[in-house]
Amino acid sequence: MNIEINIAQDFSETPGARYKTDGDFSGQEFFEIILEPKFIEVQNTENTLLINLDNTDGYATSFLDEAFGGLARKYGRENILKKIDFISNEEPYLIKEIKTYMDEKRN
Amino acid sequence: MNKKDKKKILQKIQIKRGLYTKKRRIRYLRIKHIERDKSYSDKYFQFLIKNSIVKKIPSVFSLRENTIETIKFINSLKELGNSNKRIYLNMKEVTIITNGTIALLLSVMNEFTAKGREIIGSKPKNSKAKKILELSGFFDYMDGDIEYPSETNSNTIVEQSNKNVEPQSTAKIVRSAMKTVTGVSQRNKKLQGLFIELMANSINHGFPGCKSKKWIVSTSHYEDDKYVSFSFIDNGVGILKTLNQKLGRKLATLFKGKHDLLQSAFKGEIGSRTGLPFRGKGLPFIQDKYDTNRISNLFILTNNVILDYKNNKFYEIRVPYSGTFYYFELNLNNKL
Repeated sequence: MNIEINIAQDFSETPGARYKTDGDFSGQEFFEIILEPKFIEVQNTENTLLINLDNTDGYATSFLDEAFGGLARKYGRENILKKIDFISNEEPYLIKEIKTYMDEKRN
Repeated sequence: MNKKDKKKILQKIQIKRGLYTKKRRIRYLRIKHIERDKSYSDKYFQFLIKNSIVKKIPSVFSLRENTIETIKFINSLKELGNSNKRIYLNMKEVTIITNGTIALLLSVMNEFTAKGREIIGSKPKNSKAKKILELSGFFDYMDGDIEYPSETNSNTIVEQSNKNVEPQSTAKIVRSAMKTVTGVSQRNKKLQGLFIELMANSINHGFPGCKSKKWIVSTSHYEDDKYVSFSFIDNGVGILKTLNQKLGRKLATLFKGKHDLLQSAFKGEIGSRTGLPFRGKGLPFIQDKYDTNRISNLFILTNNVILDYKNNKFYEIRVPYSGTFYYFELNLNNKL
């Protein structure tokens, strides 16, 4: 079974920048209140987390890096990719971009 | 006719006379008031000028066409930061003025008005320059008297923020720009992403150790030509200063001058050229939007470096500018 996070509906149509201190709807805020809790929910189950990136006004790299890169840095890239799938019909390249953020280690 | 009737007739006449006199009096007062007001306002304006610090704006007030003089003027205006006197911007001799430069001027003025300083101004004699200034909405943002009222309505929207990245504000700017360019109010994800990067860069790197953080976006709509120009400004420390602090002097010498360092940062090459794990994605994201034709005519000024993508000119200037200024356009030739 899939548990879906629709960012535009469940979080904001106008995602912001990286940190909560940057302003509203940051990647950090998304990570803390939606992404990580939902990931924990599916982590030890048969379920998959389906993340719908469509219907927002657009993303900054810092938002995606903080949210998805942050998740990979905390739980490990392979563990994340086993449990997470993406929908991005409007900007298909975003999925590849997110995966590169998952590869990066923070200095 | 008895006494009662006589009294009634006299009363009627008096009332009529009274009304007539009242009307005349009002009309007289109105004309007098207008005349007095006009001369009073001229005299008053001259009085204001006499008691102000006079700053004469260069006749060619354009970052592209008269870079040094324009930056010198902006710097000299910034230097007035500690004075409490009113500032008079004399624009009478201005013949060329651009929206980007107007936004730049506005960003400095905002710092003054935020401190409660009054700024007054005169309009250019040159009709073209005057129209550009009026269309820019510049006079709407002046916190003081202006010599003459505007004859045209502004086509410019100015958004400014203290401290924060405001994706909702820029989403509105983007939709409105798309309406001017395509005729339909719609999203442009790349442009929105670009604005978030600009705001985040400004907030996170532009003002180290400073509580007062501010950015300004000025958007001018040209409906007939179906394009929109944007200026994004912060009066922080500038990108080069931030880069130098991160890299240190030794590593900064690996680059062939400041423009090379700045270009590398926008190309995302700092990591590969210095061997440092350099995480900055914001600046490469901005240049990518120009390289992939999402925006046109990108022009960046920060510290004493200019990156003029339209003319493919990247160079240092001898006058430093504290802060970062971006100019770009959205038109029908862009990938929308």
